[in-house]
Amino acid sequence: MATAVEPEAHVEAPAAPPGRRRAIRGAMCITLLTGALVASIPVTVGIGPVPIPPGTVARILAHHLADLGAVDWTTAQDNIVWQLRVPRVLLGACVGAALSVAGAAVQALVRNPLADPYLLGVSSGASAGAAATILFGFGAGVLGLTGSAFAGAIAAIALVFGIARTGGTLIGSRLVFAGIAVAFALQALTNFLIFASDSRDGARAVLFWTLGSLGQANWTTLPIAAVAALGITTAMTFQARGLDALAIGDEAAHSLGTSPTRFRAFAALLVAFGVAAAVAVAGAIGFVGLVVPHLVRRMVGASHRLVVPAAALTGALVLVWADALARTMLSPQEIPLGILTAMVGTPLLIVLVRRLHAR
Amino acid sequence: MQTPAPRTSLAAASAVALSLALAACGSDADAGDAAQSEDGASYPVTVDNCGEEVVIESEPQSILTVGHSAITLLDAAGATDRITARTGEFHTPLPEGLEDPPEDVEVLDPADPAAETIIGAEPDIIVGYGLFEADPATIEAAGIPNLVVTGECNHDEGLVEAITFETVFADIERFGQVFGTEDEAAASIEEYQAELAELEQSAAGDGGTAASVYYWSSESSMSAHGGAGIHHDVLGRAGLENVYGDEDSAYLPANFETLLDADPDYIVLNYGVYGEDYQESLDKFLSEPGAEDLQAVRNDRVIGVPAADLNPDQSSLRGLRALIEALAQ
Repeated sequence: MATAVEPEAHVEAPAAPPGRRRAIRGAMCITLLTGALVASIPVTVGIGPVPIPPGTVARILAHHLADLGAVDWTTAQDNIVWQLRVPRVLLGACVGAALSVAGAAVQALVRNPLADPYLLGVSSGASAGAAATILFGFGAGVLGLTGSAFAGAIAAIALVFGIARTGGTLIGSRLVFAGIAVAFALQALTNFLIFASDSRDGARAVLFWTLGSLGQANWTTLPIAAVAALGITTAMTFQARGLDALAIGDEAAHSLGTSPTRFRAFAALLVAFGVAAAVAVAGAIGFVGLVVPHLVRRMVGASHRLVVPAAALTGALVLVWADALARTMLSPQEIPLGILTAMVGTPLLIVLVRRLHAR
Repeated sequence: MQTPAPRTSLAAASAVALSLALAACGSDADAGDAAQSEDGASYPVTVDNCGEEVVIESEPQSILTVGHSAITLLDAAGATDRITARTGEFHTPLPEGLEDPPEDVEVLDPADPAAETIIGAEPDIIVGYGLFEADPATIEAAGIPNLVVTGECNHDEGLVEAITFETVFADIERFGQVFGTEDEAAASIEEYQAELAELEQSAAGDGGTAASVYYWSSESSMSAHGGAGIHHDVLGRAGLENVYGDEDSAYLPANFETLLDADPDYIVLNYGVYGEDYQESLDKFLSEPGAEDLQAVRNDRVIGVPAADLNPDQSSLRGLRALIEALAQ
């Protein structure tokens, strides 16, 4: 979802070439974050409304991963851990990573610290695609709901590019405005489709889509999110120099040998694919993609070679833990994940806004 | 997403002024001459409405209904002939088994009605599930009492009390008082109490555990019925123990792992909530990870009951009957 924007406000530009100390500090951060994520995954798999002793969780994991040990747990426990929680935690990690990397990239692309991954109209495109399928069976047979949401997201980004790209250049501020315009238009279209149809299901199903949830996680949709997360993180890490250049400014990018238009188009398309995949499997989960990049820049500095992998790890951590809270705080009820990410995200956003004004 | 319509301070101010004026006028009515209805009931009548007292000044002659439970309860109370406008039925057919179905009454709005629709219809009273789109304060200021079906108070969120068949009978009695049709209401209640007693006698439930579950939309995760709604009472009277009975709410979005853990003897699958048939609902349920290992699934003890037969009105007798018959097989 598009947030209020100040066009061309500056994301912290990378400082002078990072010194040795900074590189060491960055490497340490990445190592720590990796350790925290690797530890958090089995720990959060042990957390849920149904208490299962950590030892049992560990044995179930060992049994499925390495075929170790004799089965001394119930089928229900096995299903809870292996069919429900493991895919859910992994989906959370993948979606959190993809959204955070996408957020960091978009903030650099449009040089706006308040940009988020949904700025380019991707989530409203996904909702519109899903709504068309739910309400009218549009493309249901060929694509399925996930496929339609993905197609809607890609169509939205194509539209944004079409509007923003005039005279052969693609500048950040125009991308922002085109994104906002397309997002509003598609939201209106989605709402119109809902109200125009007689379907009782429509409004409810689409609302569920726009709130975002990891509750539908399963082994079938997990690979989509995994490919998206790994793909966008790897590609953006390799393209970190380009992001650094754009974050400074188009002039600087030119002088550093990067074509701002070409790179922006390439990176935005990558973002679109990553976010479209994340939204298609988990709905539009808010705040992670906006807030995590800022947290990460405070930890590792502004160089995207560190920001991108650190954002992926931090995003994964944040979402994995937010979801663990979402499914246990009011157990056996589930709190919509968006509420928790907003509860964590808004205070951070407020601090960020205050800092911006202080400058 | 639906957002509430902006309300200007002018509208709020005039609403306040209007309600003050109405309150001033209303105080005169208490002075003495109570009106008599055709049946001899005297007005004004004061009834409880979701924990608040509502005064009905004179016998209402025109009713705007919101939702199906209102129509069903009014039918039991013998007042459907006064329904002059229907809303909030979301394109679903009228409930089965009505004695005097208001088939010819215009459906003003298939969805939740706006304040303008309600006021424009000029009903003497509203009976329904509460209001979402319209601000109840606006309607009150317009001098139209808004009676809410007790089982649907506070939009199902914070029910005043746990809903049982007794609540349903009390609601029928209440509508009898409001519309001056006490005799017809009493006759219906007697009939339903006898039916309920007969059903309970025949209940074959073995004291096994059960979960009553449903899907709110094709995209939603599973929800369950807690201890506060009519579904809990239906399970209990069928001789089953609700595994979510300790939950102090009528509805809860339940994490599927809690169902796997409880592994109840029976699953009561409420279908038709968003227009789906039993097979669609069952397919969705069975596609939940781990569902096929539930003992109720393995033992073929998943029982489908239409959601329309499990409302906080006498339709739940039909739901209870369906459940008891399925248990007997």
